[in-house]
Amino acid sequence: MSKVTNEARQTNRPAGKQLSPLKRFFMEPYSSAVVAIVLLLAVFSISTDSFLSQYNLFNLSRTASIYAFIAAAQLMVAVIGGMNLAVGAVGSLSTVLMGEMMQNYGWGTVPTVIVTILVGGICGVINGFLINKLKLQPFVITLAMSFVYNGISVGISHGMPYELNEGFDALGRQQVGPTSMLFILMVIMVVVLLIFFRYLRVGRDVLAVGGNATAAALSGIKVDRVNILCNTASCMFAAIAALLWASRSGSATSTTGSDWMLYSFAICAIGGIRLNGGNFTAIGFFCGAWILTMIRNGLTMMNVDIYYEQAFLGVIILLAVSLESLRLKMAEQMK
Amino acid sequence: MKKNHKRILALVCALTIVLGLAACAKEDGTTASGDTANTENTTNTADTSSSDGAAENSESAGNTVTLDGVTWEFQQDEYKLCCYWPSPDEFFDNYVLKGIEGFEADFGQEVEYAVGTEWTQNVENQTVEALAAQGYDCFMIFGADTAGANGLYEELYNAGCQVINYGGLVNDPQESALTLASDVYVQAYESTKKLIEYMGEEGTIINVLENLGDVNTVKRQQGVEDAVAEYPNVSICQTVADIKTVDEGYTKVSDAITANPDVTGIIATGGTASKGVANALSDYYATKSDATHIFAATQDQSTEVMNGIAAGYIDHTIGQNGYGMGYISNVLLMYLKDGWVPQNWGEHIDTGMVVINKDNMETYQEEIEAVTNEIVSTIETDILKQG
Repeated sequence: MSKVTNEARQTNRPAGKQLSPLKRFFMEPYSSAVVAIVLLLAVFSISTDSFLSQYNLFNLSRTASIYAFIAAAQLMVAVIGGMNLAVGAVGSLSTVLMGEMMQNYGWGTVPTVIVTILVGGICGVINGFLINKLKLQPFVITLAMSFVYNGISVGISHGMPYELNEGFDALGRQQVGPTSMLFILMVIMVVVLLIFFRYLRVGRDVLAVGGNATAAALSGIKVDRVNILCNTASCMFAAIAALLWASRSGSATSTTGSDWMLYSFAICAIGGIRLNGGNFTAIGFFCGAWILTMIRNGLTMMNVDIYYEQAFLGVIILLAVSLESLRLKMAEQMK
Repeated sequence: MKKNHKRILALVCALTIVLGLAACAKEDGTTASGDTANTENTTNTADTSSSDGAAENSESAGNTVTLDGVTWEFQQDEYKLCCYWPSPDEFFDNYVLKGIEGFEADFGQEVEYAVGTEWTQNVENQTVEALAAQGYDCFMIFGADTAGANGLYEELYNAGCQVINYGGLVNDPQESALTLASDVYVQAYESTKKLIEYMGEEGTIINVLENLGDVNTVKRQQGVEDAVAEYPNVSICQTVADIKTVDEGYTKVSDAITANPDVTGIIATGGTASKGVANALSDYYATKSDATHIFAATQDQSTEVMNGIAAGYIDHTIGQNGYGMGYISNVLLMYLKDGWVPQNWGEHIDTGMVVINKDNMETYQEEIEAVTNEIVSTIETDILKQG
């Protein structure tokens, strides 16, 4: 059976007593994120003229998509109860290597993209291997490795930006119907993750390790392999996010990724993904990326006082995540 | 793994680290965070046959230096000069470092430099203190934190060092002998006035600022607002601020442009924010089919901005005299070490600015070097006095 959390199924309801569709919705862990999105959408579209403009929705879809890839990097280790503090550093290193390959070695776009993702994967293998062999907390290992990757990135680039191949920005800037190519990539990624965690054995093994590593090991799951797999996937997602960000902004600098770590945790948490492992909710994850993007975008749209902007940001995030607390209370009452 | 194997592995790892560190360290025993700008001039008696403009008519012998027919006499053969920049950045590499190299070639002194790993006062303090412990006693420093830098400068003075603050202003009271930086208020004011000219003296402007806790940002904001106040038909429709990274600048400026579809102009008065503006405008014109031209003014000569000027989506940028900061600071430090003192302690020496647009983007460096030579010629008359 899938280990994807579904509190409704786990509730000990008297036989034959059915919950209404609305109540069933509020039993789902992603429901608070969906409600938060609806509320934010209502507030921002009422208070600003341009929030629902076609161009803003296009921009929102692109930013949310890249944030989703950044968050996926954290998600892949959060589901096993780990963490990756080197998400931004791998993004920075990937950006610089991509720039080096394109600008200084004249590589084409396709080989550059493949090698960049592979380099991300190698970073993840190193992280996973060190966590397994040194038996230290992922916090310590990934913190140390973030300095290593950042140092290499700055050492190679000296802070200089790189020229990208002509046409490389098409992916990040391409409009597809009312939305962007990046949004389509985001949807594909979320669907792949859903299939991975719900229908593939390896995905269920990952969730089992996150739920209880000892029990998983006793049931025959190779925990070390799962750990390396998740760390590898994590850093590959960070590398993909770096490629997409460079494609969108049309620029590649070593400062890329400097603020990714916090976003990656925030999106997972807002989306209802437990950071101590064992669960994945595709809709919550999808909504988490959109919530953070909408808040930042909406605050600029509303032209809030620049001196209090950070305070507004914090309060809105707090209100959004408070909905989860409210939902849990409601779910408890329904039981 | 057997115990012996583990020991061998540990030994190999330790050797790798030691050899790696040895390879990274420089032969002259200085920090690994920066290379000496010009290792050819190791003493002040070296010939000054540099490729840089000012060096062509110069010669030095002992502690006497002759430049363009002017003779300079210094008391010491060798000065322990050191430069610090807070984090890797192309403005330092392309401009300040060039000024340092020009100084080394002209004055036959060697300048050590260090670049911090991150833009924080903590990292700056640790690095500079380590350099002072190595014997460097003449520092030109870009204060990472406009409030915290003064503490470091005071500490260095108490240890017998000389300090020039460069690149940006720090908070009062000044603890460095002098500050060599552009007048950020004047730059912001002049840049805004020029932008308003392009706009036909009417319309709305997005004002893009960086860290609001920085005294330089406050002055820049004032400069923009004062210029706008002179034109009744021009207003600031939105101010976006607290931009610390290029990516943050890119996202915020994109959002602000979308929020103000009728905006006529956009101004950025910080280097990082300007890179964000350049990326955002590049994206805007590439993705919005009905985009109309937004007049844009930026700060500094970054690659992103210069590409924007060449492509036509940035109308001008304000070029700072990084060359002069690197060059003049070291000359002043030699004077200070010889016992000269500032005429006004903590005085801000304006290193000048140049408006760079499509017409002069290939030649503006000459204008900047001319400003540098002019300031150098006034050191003994207007800036310093005998102690």
